Amino acid sequence: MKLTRRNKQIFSSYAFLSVPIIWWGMFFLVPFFMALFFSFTNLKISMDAITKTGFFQYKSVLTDADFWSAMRTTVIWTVAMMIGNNLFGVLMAILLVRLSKGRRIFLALLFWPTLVSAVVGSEITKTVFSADATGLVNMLIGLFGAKPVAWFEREGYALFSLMVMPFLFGFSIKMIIYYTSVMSIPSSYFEAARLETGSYSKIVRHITLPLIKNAFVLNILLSLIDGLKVLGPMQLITKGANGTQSSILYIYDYAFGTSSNMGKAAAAAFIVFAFILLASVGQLLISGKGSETYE
Amino acid sequence: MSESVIKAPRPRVKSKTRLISNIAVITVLSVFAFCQIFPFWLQLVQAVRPQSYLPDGRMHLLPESLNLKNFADALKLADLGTGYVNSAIAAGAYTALSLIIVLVCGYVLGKKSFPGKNIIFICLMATMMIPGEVLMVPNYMLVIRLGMFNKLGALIFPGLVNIFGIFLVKQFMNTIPDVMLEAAEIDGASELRRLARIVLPLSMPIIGTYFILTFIAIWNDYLWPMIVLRTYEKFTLQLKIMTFSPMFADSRDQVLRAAGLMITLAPVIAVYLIFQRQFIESVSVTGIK
Repeated sequence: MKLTRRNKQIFSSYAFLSVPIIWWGMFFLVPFFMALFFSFTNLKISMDAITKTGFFQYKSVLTDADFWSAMRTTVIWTVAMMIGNNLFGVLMAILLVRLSKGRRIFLALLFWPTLVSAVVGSEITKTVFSADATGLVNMLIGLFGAKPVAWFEREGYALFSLMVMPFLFGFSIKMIIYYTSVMSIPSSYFEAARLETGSYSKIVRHITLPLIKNAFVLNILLSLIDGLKVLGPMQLITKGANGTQSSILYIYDYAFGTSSNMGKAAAAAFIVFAFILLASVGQLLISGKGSETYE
Repeated sequence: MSESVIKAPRPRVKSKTRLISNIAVITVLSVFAFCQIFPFWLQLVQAVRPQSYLPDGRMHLLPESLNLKNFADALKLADLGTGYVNSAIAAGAYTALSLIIVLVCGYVLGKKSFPGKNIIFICLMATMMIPGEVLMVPNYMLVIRLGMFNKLGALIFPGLVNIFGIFLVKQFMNTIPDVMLEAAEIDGASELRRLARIVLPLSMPIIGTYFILTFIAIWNDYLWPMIVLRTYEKFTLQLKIMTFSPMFADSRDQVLRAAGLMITLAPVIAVYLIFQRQFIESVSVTGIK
């Protein structure tokens, strides 16, 4: 049988896609359903004798005070980062555009912390908040006569100490997105506005900010998803102690920690997954309305 | 992208007010840039101290000596060399192999028409919503079953089909005109030839973007390596530095740790200094790191 051109194209398409799709099925689809299955069992890391436990694991997660305290920590982190990173991100973007020279240098200077890995970043945070008098923060409060504080050892201080640096300096990616968005506003808008008013803050409030609404929506969504999945600082600096356990760390500790209960970890993972999904959809529904374009 | 970065709405205000506002803007930006660098600078100062120094409770803004031996010591004690090699193998192999898959899938999904295309695409995209943490447990078990536990392969093979990459490439394929491919087909170029001679050269920008972002992501990752690597000689650079604790129980520990951190950070910063522009553009194209 001679292949027509169209049949040939269909055949080659399937041929090209088959291997990646099988691979994807094996490492995404199969694990997903495995995880779903595990969440109804009492699987341990030793992987012996699985028994089906129905919704027991879900119940035990949802009635676990530790889980809710981890969720609380996660939500506090998410809201703080959402505010800090977007506030500083948009501020930096607007200031950068205002520069007439040296934009690229400042962009580079403000962007590089993105490349610092979680491990290195955590080590830096540890030194900044170190408990002895030589830590940067203890030195700063020492100038006002305060005694050194063991930041990570105290409930109530620990989470705060983890959040300060990401809150102040975690804006790089948001900044780039805002910056690109501001740059794509046609300059005629600004020129027209400048004929009307000499006040730059008015232009920012009435032209720039409304026209980068799409960037806001995207950035808030990114903050939400990233924030709810936070793990690095909690795991690497405080190991979840003193009220710093995040929900992903809760999952990790149950999966691979000393009191391993992979079934419970899987159930918690699905609960957190559902929560992230709901939060993202909710956020899109709220902020997606009436987005502005320049057309 | 590069054009929009260069051309910008330029404020045309009176020169004096403009000068003042420019100085104010530069001041604010400089303060932020400085605060970001400062803790790293302190660690750099720490890293070049003599190992015998005694903490005097003061902050040293400038190094009192230049003891480069610390770097050699940290490199040896923490076995960072092996870490470098392991990280380079894992990140390099993953990025190169997944790039091929991402390109082929993105091309087929972007430029071909065949029944079921949209369903396949939507199914693939839907998995982007699943956080990797949900798959942590089953993937760990799969890795054990497949005999990849404690092997670098565990960092390379399970995630080879990078859905986000496929999405990126598929979007990019829309910018390649169909007529070019049709013309080549009429001239008798085979599918593979068209891929290699037309699609590949035109896709260089997206290849660069994908390469930069993926390589850095794998290089910097610690969670998955921590789960699947057990023995010290298999550790990636991030795991090496994470578990590095010199046990002298005196000031040497801090100095050597600081030196180790600087060694870990150095290549990323070096690559950034060279490809700084591409980095920033990659992020602004994709919206993620």
